[in-house]
Amino acid sequence: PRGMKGGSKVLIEPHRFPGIFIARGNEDSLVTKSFAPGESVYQEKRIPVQVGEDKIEYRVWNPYRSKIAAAILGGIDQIWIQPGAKVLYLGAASGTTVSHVSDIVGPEGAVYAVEFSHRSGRDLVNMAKRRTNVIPIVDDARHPMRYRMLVPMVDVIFADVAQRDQARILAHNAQHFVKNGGHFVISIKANCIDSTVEPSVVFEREIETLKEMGFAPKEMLTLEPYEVDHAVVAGEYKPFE
Amino acid sequence: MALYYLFETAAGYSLFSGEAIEEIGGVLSSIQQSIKDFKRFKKMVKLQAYYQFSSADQAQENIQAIANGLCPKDLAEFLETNLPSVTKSKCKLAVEDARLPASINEFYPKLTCVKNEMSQEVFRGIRLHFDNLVKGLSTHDLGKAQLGLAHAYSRSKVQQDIKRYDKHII
Repeated sequence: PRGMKGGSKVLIEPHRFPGIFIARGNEDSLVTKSFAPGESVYQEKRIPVQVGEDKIEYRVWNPYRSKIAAAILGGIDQIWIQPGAKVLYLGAASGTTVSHVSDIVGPEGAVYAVEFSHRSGRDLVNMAKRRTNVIPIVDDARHPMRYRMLVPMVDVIFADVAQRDQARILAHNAQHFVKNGGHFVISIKANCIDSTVEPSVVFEREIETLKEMGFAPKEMLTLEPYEVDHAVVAGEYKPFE
Repeated sequence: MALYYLFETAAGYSLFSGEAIEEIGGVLSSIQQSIKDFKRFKKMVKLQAYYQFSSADQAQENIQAIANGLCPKDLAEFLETNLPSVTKSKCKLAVEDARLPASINEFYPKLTCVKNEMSQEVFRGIRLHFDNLVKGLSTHDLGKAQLGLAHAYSRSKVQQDIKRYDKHII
């Protein structure tokens, strides 16, 4: 019932990022290939496509509800989350974006999704039931030692924790779980960090803080028109010399 | 003095032996270089003992204690069986969690625990190369153990808290 209307033509094209696609129809939309077809996670639209014998299902990824999708549509140069990658995701919330990351990394990859709120954590655990590449961790991202038994070395760390000391939280986790030469993506909400100065000043300061903590930021992107006073910073962790 | 590294996973406990590395300028970057390359890293640490949890319940009991910085009974027994001595100061034990020594010392007051910048780098190496260091336990099995234990651990949290007011920290 939530699929495209009968008869309307939808073409699926690969995005320049592996594992991500664009559905071309009346309106173009960003989509991911569902890891668990037949179900929506947050009532997102699903697009079934018949390929020979196989039925593939794509899920529409709403940039107004996901900072990663907003960064991709905003033209970020590299998102690092790709098929086969192991991702540590801090601030998983109910798992809406995590479900798309799960689609992207696929069966060879894994998403270690950390969420502290028990209410959101319940949704996260439920979402992970059918997505066996999602490892739900209901715990405090400020204390990575609490969940060290559950997390291996990962390729990418993503953080959307909206905390004043989020750079420190990111660094604390990276110290234990991110490979040398691995990558990070962090979402920064300016007024969560300092509401007394201009967002651009907050972003610059955060970039300096990240550098002090072993990160090598490569790019920054603000998320207009999808989010106001938000930026995403991405780069490398402990680059090899 | 011999130095041992305690590494906890969803599948069980492992103990690695390595030479005590004293902190000298430049050593840290050379450790980082060794960690990149498994051939070099496997000369730094050797698997000494491995203890596999025998059931999901046991794994869950252990992670509950470890998460809170406590030394579970299974871990205390593992250390007593596999360290040269827990009562005489014959070796040092490197741990990843700074909270753990206090609890280990309640069992074994004479055992010296270590946690510093060096040991932290070595633990990064162990985590990175774990499946190569521990023969017979493939990454796939460890992944399955992580998945199962994460569900059990997270489920226990959201269930025990079902009536409490939600904490909006993150």
